[in-house]
Amino acid sequence: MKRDVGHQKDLYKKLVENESFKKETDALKTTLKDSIWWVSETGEKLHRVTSIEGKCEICPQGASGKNKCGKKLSSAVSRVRVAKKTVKFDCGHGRLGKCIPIIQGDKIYGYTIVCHSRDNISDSTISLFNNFLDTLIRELQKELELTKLYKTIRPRAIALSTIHTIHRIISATLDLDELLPKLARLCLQIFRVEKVCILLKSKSRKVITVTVGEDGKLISSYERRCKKMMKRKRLLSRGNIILSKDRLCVPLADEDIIGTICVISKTSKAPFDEFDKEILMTLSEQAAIAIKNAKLYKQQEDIILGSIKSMAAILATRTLGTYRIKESFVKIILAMGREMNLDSEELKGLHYAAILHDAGQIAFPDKLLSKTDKLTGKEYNIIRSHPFKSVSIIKHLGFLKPVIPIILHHHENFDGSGYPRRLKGESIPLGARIMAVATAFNAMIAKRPYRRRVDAHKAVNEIKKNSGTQFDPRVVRTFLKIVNSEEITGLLKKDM
Amino acid sequence: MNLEKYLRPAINRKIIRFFLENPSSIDNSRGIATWINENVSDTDKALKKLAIAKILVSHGSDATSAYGYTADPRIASNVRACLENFKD
Repeated sequence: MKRDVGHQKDLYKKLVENESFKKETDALKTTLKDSIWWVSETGEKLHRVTSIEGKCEICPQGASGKNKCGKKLSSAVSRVRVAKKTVKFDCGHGRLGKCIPIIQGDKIYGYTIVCHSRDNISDSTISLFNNFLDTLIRELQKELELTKLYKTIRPRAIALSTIHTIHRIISATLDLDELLPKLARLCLQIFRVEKVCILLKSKSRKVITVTVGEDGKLISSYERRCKKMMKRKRLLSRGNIILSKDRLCVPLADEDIIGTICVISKTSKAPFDEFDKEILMTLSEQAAIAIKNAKLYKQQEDIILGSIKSMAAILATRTLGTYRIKESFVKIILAMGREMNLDSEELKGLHYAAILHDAGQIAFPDKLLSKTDKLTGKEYNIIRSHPFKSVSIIKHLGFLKPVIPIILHHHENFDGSGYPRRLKGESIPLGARIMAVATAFNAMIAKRPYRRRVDAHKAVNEIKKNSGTQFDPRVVRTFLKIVNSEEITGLLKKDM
Repeated sequence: MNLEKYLRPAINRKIIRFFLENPSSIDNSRGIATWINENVSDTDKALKKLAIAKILVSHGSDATSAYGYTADPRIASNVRACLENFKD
């Protein structure tokens, strides 16, 4: 009923403001040479007449005159309300008037009152006016419906578009460490809250907790057992939805409950509502899929890395321990790659190259690996062929394709005097230039059958000395920055 | 920061008004262009500039860049105040 009254009021307002309506009533006024009144309908209380507009020249001034006039009009309106058709009335001052309902179907939106016309208005004129009103009301109703639809649908369409956009963003993120804070920040943005907390079940009954606060800053990110955190344990085990004034939590569920997302305290202090719950539940469904994908991707990555390390371990058994990949060596290479702004895929390639770069040594004869004196020309050629042999071993694994250029060219020299292809300067892939510095350093500080290990300090100086000739100066600068860090110094001592 | 410089282009103001009406929205250039009835290319350029000014927050990477309104109350308040200087 309330909505109906509101709709009638809106329609009436549009009607009396409509230019066509004004022209028609003005034309009627001109024809009749007298005033026209219109009366709005309040709806429920049909007997009440509100806002009479227009001036009557016949009606005596003063309260008593207006009262008598008002009573006659009210009576006419009441009669029309019942009859739902035009009614003639005596205005009380010796003139006839007509009260015409503004009607559609059986709904009355208002009344047009033509007061004390000098000539009797013909029924055909009234009929024409009524038809005009009917058409106009239909048009205005459509307009109102469209406006209402627009106001209802547009915010929902925008919300839907937001969810779709977020789905694309989180699906594109396969690193779980990056995904959870990103998801939390997106929730912060959508719900305009002070804090977002994501709980995720991890292996061995641990829980990963990521909390993001105002401005999207990461408040905390940790993985630990939640023995004492009873509330969190219950939340995770039961997968309850919590909707309170300042907290909304929904489960992250795939086949089982894998976690919970909680949004806490809107910045506007407004309470969370069912619409918010609907949005968060939709988001959590997408997030659960994205998290599952990230976990599967991580498992795949772990399998690949494990396979590569197994290959390296096999090679190490063949190469009499000279082919042992040290932790410090891998860390130096990855640190250099990060410092030189390599992206995650490039870093991964560098990591694999670090483990497999000398895989080709498996083809060396035993006596060559254990030789202590100078190499012959033939023996040196065998050594120089190892990049090709390394590539021939790994080329069958498609995921190692990006690693091939690094392995093939890690013995090129910056001045073009290296092997196997005598590449020069920046035509040598960056990964290979990084490997060149790191492998040279590693070779100097390692124990070899043909010489004693070199002190790390001296090895660094040797690298510096050959900057610009054997090594890329930019890579050398990066290396010098990395090798003097506390972490690397500690690892070098451990590996030595 | 000279906010007026960022609010001078009409398209920038349209974008900001959209986010003032829909503060929870996050969308890419194509989506926002639809909502404000502008072409995608101009909208994309405007969004990037507003993100540099920190009036908008960028989410995602280049392939799936999306934008949301700032959560910083100081920037939001300054933008509102500056917007009142424009008659549209």
